[in-house]
Amino acid sequence: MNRIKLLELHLEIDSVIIGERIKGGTFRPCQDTIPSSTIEGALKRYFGIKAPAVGFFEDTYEFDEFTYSVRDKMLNISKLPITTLYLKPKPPHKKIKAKVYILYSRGAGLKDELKNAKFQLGALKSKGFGESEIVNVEEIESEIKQGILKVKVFEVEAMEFRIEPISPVYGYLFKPDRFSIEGVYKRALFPGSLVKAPDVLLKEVSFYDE
Amino acid sequence: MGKIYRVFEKNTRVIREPDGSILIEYNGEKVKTIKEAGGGRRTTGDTNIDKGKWQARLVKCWIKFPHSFVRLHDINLLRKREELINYIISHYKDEIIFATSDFITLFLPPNQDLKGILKPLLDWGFYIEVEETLADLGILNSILDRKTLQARESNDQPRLNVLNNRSTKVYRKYLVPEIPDALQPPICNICQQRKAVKRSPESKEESVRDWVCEKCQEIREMGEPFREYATVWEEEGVKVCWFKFSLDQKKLENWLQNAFGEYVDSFNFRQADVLKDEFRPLALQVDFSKDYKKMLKEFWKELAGIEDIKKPIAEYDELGVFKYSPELTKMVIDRFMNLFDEYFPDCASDNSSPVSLSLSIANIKYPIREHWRFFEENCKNFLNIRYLKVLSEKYTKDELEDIKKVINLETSSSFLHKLIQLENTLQSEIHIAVEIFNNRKKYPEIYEIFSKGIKSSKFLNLYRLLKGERQ
Repeated sequence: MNRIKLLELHLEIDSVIIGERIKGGTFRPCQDTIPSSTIEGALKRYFGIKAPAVGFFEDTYEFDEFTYSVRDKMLNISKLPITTLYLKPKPPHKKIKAKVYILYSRGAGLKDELKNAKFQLGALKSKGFGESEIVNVEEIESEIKQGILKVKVFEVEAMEFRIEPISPVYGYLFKPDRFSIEGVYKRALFPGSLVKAPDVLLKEVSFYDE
Repeated sequence: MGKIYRVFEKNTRVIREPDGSILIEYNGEKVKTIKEAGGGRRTTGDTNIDKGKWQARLVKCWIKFPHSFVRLHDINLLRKREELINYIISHYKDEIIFATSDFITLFLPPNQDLKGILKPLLDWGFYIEVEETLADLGILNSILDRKTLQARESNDQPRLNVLNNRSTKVYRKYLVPEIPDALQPPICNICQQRKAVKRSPESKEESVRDWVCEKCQEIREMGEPFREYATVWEEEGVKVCWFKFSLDQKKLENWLQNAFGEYVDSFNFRQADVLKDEFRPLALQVDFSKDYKKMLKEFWKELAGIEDIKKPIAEYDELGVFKYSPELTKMVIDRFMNLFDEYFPDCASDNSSPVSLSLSIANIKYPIREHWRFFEENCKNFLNIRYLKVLSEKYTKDELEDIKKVINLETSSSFLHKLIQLENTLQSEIHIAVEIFNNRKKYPEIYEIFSKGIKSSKFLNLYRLLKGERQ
């Protein structure tokens, strides 16, 4: 069978920071993709869903900066201000739109629970970033095609989505341990990889020899 | 081309038959004539496939990196890339048809190991996006990959019939450094591919840890790109404008193919389509790339001696930085436009232009990696400008010329100034449009560019940048 059944979550987000790992300096960049590590963490925390998930933002966002100061509670002083990039809706959009996919077999029973549910995604939640609403949940069938991947997904979870690397671009995503205290960087497929995958996860369909 | 001849010379064997005839063997295939080796030149048609016996690969390599420039020293990576490319060229002079700072085209026999050739780049953490075409010599050219993929997408059977029967293959590959399945923290802040084993010294002002792997540390220690940036300029707290030239090879291929098509059409040849189909742009790409490099050298020659404009990496001509001022911004844009006219007078100069210039203006504290992120964005136009938190615009060359004529007029100046004030207070494009229309008789030159479809924000922003209008 050349199709896969998925649960497609339509998200609307006010503003969000999914930080990059770079820690140097007082300026924090942010990503414009939703790594599977981030969305899986959020689904687990807010809904108790332990399932592979992938996602991406649609072209409804732009970057802006937010400056804040971290407080040292012990010394009761503020540290140097830190500026972080964040995503905000790109006019005329009022919200950032994103799509998240869960395997239908793992999320079929959650459809009603997830519809209109609210949760937070990414960093600086205490400052109000990452407030997200699942405005729609659809069961979809996506055809498996060759193309260029547009999501970041753990390599070990890619096969569950029937993502088969033909020529992969690798990077690392952080996988917390079961206590969410420590963790390890796991190899992941990054956007740009040439794959066979559900076409909803492709930036473009391609016709290369394999 | 001499290079291709020499690649064959290395990979062929001359066999003298008992009857005195001569055969040449390449990749296990013996031929007596050029036609037998290369086959026909057509890539479409139902009959007469005319398959050749010899195949070769044309390999396009985009050299990329996952690194993020955390500190100024980290742009030494660009120097390292230049060094490594030059090293590879010196070892594979014949196989490498041409190279720029981030792109290499190779001509290779079917079995030669590409990864082996590019290993020095992989060892330093670069990765290579490869588009490789394997085809009969009679049809192998630098745009056959595109033609083949288009034929597959549109299911163009006459073309696919020939291409498939001639065993034409197009591959996309990534050559990537070997990385393990899992990595224990900390991970390198710069390349994000290796375990960080060193923490570089923290400056007094910074309390944030900076984890760096050995390779990236070595690159960091290659030297300070230019000292004044982090000392004098930073102390002065100036605004800086980083700028980068780019040559987009895919746009170059497109433009060459379209320009050749238009040229052929202008003669009304009966066999125009055949000529267009057999077009081989590789030699033109080589010449264009050489001219591009010469243009950059000329650019820097003309700006030599200007204290506030710097080339941070001496060996790398695409990247520059200056203390932002309207005068220097104007100078850089004017030099680029003049040189572009001189070197590429008939070349596309809009969003299909192979050559572009991007400028990114921000306070000196703004991280270089964010300037670089802007430079690496797709969808470039001829000129791309971002002034952090102030403006972001893209211009075609025609738009620039039209706007510059207007903003250089003394008579327009007061009205442009008024429009900027209106824009600042009302934030309304419609009000600006009405104001321009109402003043069309008094300021016809502004109405003229506006009625050409150039948005008011484009000429007002350029006025701000080049005339130093206060934000």
